[in-house]
Amino acid sequence: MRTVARLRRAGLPYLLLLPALLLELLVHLVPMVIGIVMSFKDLTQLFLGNWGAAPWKGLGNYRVTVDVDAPVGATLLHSFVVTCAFSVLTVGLCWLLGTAAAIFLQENFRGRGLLRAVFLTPYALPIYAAVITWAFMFQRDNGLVNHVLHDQLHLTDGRPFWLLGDNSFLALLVVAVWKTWPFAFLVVMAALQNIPKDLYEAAALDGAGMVRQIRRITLPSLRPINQVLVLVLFLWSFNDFNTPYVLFGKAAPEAADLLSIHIYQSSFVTWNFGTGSAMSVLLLLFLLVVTAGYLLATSRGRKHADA
Amino acid sequence: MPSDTVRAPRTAGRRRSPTAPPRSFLWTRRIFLTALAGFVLLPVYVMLSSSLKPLEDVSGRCV
Repeated sequence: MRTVARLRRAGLPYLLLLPALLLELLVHLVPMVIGIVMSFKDLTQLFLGNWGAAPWKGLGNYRVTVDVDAPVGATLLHSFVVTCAFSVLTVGLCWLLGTAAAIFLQENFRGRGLLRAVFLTPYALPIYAAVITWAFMFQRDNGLVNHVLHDQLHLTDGRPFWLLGDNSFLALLVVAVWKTWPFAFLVVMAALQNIPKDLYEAAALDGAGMVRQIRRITLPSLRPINQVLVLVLFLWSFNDFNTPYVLFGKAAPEAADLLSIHIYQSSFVTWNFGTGSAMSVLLLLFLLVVTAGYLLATSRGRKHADA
Repeated sequence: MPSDTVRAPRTAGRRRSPTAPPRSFLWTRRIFLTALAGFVLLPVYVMLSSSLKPLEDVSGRCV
């Protein structure tokens, strides 16, 4: 009797966890496994009605996607380079703006609460509405950006296109930074609350200026938080689909052809789901490797610093 | 007040605390936070001003 009661008590947590586990399996793992299976099939629009009947292609889809001499591989490589540049710049700028704003708002002054609320506005706005507004602003003929740059300040010769051509990368970067930097600000601001004020007072009395205080106290104290923050920002920006999709529509310009949009185009515009799935799997593998490498490198660095 | 009266500066006699941030930091803070607030609020301003206009005006169908 006692054993049965003990088993029941021990099994209860697992029983309670079961619905969440099943849901997780259904929502995340099953689509992932289906995507991996699809990447080994020649799944085109001919087999959309019954995709199980699509013939197996082995590693054929992967060969096509990594062959940089062929058009599919060449465009994928270009898209990968654009995504890497976009991610690095987005993460860097978001971190810089978020950290600077958090440091500047660390001390109490008049209007600090209002500024904190204002800075969190992009995070509170619906992302679709905000990006559509940016698309309005970047319109060539009657957008606010050209109105200010060309009509008011006369900084450009003509009215440049922002949502076409090379400028589209800049437009995408601005919108992505505007949308994402409040997260960095929020995280760094929370982390700054844990740094004792005595440290700054002692450093100031010892003659350390603001720059030295930031370099010697603030940044080292933020290191564990930054480790997670940079990783999360990188993964978000690398996988960002909503921003380019709402800003440019289904066909993003070449200069702003992020991987997520490229895979979407390969899958849903050209109806080649096999190749699209292979690209998705390669992207997943790349992100897993980068994440593991980054965590390994940063944890080693922390161990060295602690020793 | 006679014109030859020498007025002491308003900050005279008031010494800055050694832990107080320097003036350069305060000015950098002012400029940076103002620029950042402008960047953040620009789309919000466009959104609000568009929402207050008549629909014909926003969609460009006004005569």
